[in-house]
Amino acid sequence: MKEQLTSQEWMLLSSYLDGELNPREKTRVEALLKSNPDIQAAYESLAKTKAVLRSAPRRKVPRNFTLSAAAVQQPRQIFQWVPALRFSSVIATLAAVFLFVSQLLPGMAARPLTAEQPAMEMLAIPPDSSEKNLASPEADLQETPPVVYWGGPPPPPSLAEGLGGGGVDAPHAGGMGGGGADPGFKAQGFPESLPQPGISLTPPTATVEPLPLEGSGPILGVRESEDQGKALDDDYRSFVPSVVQEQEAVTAAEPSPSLPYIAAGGLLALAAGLWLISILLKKKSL
Amino acid sequence: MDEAGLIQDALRGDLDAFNRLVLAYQEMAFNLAYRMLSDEAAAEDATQTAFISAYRNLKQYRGGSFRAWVMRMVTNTCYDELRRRQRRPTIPLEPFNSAEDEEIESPTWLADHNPTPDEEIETRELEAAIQHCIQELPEEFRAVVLLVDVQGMDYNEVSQAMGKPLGTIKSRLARARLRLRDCLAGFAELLPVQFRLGKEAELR
Repeated sequence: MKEQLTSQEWMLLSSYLDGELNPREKTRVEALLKSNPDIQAAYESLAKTKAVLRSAPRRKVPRNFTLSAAAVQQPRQIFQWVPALRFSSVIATLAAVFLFVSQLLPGMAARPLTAEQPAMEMLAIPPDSSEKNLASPEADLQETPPVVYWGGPPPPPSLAEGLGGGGVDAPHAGGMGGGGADPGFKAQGFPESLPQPGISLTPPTATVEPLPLEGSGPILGVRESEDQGKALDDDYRSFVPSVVQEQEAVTAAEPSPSLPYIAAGGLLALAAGLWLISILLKKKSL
Repeated sequence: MDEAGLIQDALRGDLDAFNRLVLAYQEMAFNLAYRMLSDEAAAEDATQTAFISAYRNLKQYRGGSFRAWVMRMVTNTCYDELRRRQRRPTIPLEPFNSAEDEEIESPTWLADHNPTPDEEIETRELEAAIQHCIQELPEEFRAVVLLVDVQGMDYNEVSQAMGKPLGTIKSRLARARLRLRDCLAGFAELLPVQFRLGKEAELR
């Protein structure tokens, strides 16, 4: 019986049983039922099956399923972070793998400092350092340490003001050096109780009246008597400290060869931690 | 019961209004869940979960049959439970027959062993047979035949409840009925005479 009907005919009979056919289909099925005993039997079997199911006893509810305010509260929002944590973990892992691979591939690894790079080359004078110092003395005043002058004639007031002192014979010594013994110059911004009178410091606003020196010798910062009052090579003295500072900055910025591995290890630890947290949160939510 | 008014009140956060809807549909929901899961405790949990989910997602209700919408929540919850069972299969608490060294297959072994009237026994056995045949159906067939033949819903409601087109519902229902007919034929002696098919009815 089952094999004699197509699935389409079974569907029509089933729908006819439930009264879900349109008038045209209904007429067609009723004609078939009258003319074909097999279809009639099939229809009766479906009707009895439905009747059996309908006869199944209905269970009484064991309790009421009404909701309380506590029951309908939204679940804790923390569990919604699980996908984000897992995604972050995967990203951290990929970043760590990329770092490792980039170190293994030739040409991509961080270049270590080798013997072929002479250390002195790092101290090469920037071509524009002296020009920069001359062009922008005010900027250099902030960076260069004060230079102590001992003795010497006072600088002309026009140069000493704002640019620092200088010797009479060195008109280009702006920005560096102390002032001369001009009584018109007063120490500004320097403590009056300085125990070394006669010392002047840059910035140029600080000028101290020099006192005549007594004695001679290789004392640091004390010029020979014949050199007193002459300006030193101010360009050299101004750029050397700045070059040293630049060298220190370059050395500090130079990446260590092991740094990528440390970073990759950190990323892997981060990935493992995030994954572990997501698993713990997932277990709590179940 | 002003269903539309209760739904509107529930949408505004009136839990009491929603609970009145729960009381109206809880028996239907529980029976559907029980037939789907064949486990009273699991059906209880599924029904409660479905009503909680319905309240939380009430804003997604777009009109139409509210009963169908609630039954959709129930069937979806039952699908989740069935999938969870597949992921974590459990060993049923079946009694062990030490004499024959095999499990007793009757699912009613935990039933009350006090003497009962014959009709009650027959009813239980018939229900067990029906439930057995329902459980033999694929999940998507099971839900359709339960909603139409057990719960008495029309095709449009079932289509809404299942989220499937009418043609799919018709097709699944016909195939489900065919499978049920063949399965129930194996329990002919349990069926009342008026329900017996073909030759079994004549032999009686």
